[in-house]
Amino acid sequence: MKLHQLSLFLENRPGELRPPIQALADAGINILTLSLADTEQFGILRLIVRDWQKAKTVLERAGIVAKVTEVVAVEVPDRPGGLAALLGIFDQAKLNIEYMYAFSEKRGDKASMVFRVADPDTALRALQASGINVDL
Amino acid sequence: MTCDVTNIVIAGLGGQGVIKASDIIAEAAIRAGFEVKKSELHGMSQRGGSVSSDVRFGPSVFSPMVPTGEADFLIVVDPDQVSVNRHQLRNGGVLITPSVIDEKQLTVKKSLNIALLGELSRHLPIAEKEWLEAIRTNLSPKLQDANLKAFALGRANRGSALTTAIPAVRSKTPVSASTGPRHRASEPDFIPIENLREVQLQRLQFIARRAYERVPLYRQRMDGSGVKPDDIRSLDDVARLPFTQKADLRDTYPFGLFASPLHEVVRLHASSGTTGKPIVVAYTREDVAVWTNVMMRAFASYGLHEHDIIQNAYGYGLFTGGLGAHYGAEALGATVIPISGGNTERQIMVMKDFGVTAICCTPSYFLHLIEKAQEMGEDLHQLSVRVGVFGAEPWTEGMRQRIEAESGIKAYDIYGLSEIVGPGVGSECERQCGLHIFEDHFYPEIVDPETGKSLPDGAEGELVFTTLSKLAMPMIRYRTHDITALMAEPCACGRTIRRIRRISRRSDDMLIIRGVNVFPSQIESALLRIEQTLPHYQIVLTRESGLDQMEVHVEVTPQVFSDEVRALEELHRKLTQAIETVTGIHIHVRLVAPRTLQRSEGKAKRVLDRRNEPPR
Repeated sequence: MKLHQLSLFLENRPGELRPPIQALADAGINILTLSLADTEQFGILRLIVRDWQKAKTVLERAGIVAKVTEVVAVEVPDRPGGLAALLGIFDQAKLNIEYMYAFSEKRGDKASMVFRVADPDTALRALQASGINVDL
Repeated sequence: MTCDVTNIVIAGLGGQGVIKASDIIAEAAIRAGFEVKKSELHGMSQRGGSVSSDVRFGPSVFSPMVPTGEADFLIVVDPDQVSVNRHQLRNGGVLITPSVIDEKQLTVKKSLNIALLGELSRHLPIAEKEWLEAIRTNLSPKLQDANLKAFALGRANRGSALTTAIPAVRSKTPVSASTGPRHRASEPDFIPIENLREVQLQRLQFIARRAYERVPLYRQRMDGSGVKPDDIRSLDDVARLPFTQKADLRDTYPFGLFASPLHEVVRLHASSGTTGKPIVVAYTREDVAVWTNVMMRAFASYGLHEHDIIQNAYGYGLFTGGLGAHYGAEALGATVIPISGGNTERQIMVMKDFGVTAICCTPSYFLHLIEKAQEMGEDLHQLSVRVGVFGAEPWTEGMRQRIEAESGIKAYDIYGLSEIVGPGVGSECERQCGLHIFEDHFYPEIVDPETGKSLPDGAEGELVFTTLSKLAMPMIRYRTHDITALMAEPCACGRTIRRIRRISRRSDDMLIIRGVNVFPSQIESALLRIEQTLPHYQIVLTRESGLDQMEVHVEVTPQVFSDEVRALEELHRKLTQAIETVTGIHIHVRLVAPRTLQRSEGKAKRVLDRRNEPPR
């Protein structure tokens, strides 16, 4: 399925990460999963929450700009070769993965992963055609 | 400020009129409006014992004692006392002994002291009538005629016998060559003020006519303000001419202000403008000769001469610094090393191995050189380098003290701007107290930066120049945006050309970074080109191991922010490249979170200058 991901720009120095997380905490918003990319100068925090619109408003009220991007969330069999098989589908469809990260929670023997690709709809179609469950 | 104090030591034996002579100097200086301090004597005053007296005068004087090795003038009435007093004289100071006087011409032998004062008076900014009055009031009427005659005898000397200059303690080169204390190149700096004003007026009339007849912009401006070249009848009439601004050079880019056809132009230089385009300046063969001449005069005023080895670390190229200093140093007869900027380790190697005695660069680069030399285990105090010619950026007295203490050189300020000629518009003399303007070629004015109204000498305001002899590109009342004041009072060095105070600040937002002019508007244009809308940004200037560093902090706007690292890195690369292209200097761009830059009244504070803050 397609998910709305919130991305935040952070400078790479102490004290930068806490304010947005605290703002969400104060508004009672739970973070389902996140990923933090870092470079020498800056970092990008990517968040998945249940109500992204509310979260965006909360962050903006706190003076934090969040960018919304559509990402693809997919179930991945939690066993050796599970992810490798999935990535084969991306390769065949010639889809480049900019980045990916996993949900911390898993259901049964399935893990869930988030993929950032240029065109999420094409990715979803390719995955469905290969019999992958994309409806989480 | 004590830099304008003149130190005189007079020495001899008891009974030779040493104390009397110092009384006369003191009185003449008081009459000329100076503050004077005199130390009565140290030594034995009885007849036959050695006697000496110190006189110090200037705009303000604190201590009456001349520190050892700092006398500008040492007068020794007894030839046998020269060697014991010589240590009092500063490097480059003037020694006056009885050998300069033909004693046979003295009516009374006892007037030798007064004859030596006559010689001294030639070097001091005190009018003859003050001297005569001081002699009359201090000496017995009985011997007045003999004394006045003795004074006239000394004053009539014409330089030949004047001696000077012990070699600097650590210098490997004699400080002054056969030419004596005043280099022949410096003669125009000392021309009588009336002659100077006459020359200036003739040249002003010439250049106003040339500008009017040959440059459409000047003709339109002068017609517009109802002034014709013929209306310039006195130097004060310069104020009737319209101003020229940097924008005029930009608007007429590239050759629109030239008053000479291109086949007469032998050189073009360029410097950064306020936007992407540089401003272009032109020189005829005659213009290059004038430039060479003023640069030579600048070098001569630091006591440099043909025995010096000058390392020219100003950048060669479109920037005027490199070639300007090069031509002047060659004309002086010095040995020039055209090393240009950069490669600090090689600079230090050359300085050491070639026995360099003087270096030209920006003061901040020299600070960097000092630190690098320390890293390399070289002590600049041990090298033969003794003079630094520092310009192309404003610097402070504190920086001078640091440079001089850490390297053992004398650090001199030089002033110039491409629009007027390049370096060599003005320069300090050995007094290091204000910069003499070579005003026989560049006529200075101070105006109110807001109203443009002319301000009198001494008042602080914006420096404005009219080039008096530049053929290819006359500049009529060019607004430099440099804030300073003209110092009309004579300099202790005796030069008649006026001085300006060191430039402390600017009336516009131009920044000078490692000698390069940078305008915030250049940075804005680069940001705008990459991001389409102007993001909030801040220019942060710091100094790292003596070198100016410029960081541009740019807020990441929602429009350009990406969740992908490589997109942001690409943005970072593009911004850096665009700013470096437009400014021509190496910079660091730092992307910062939106709404994090300091704002005042909604606008970000554009420039944060931390260059003079202690390192954090």
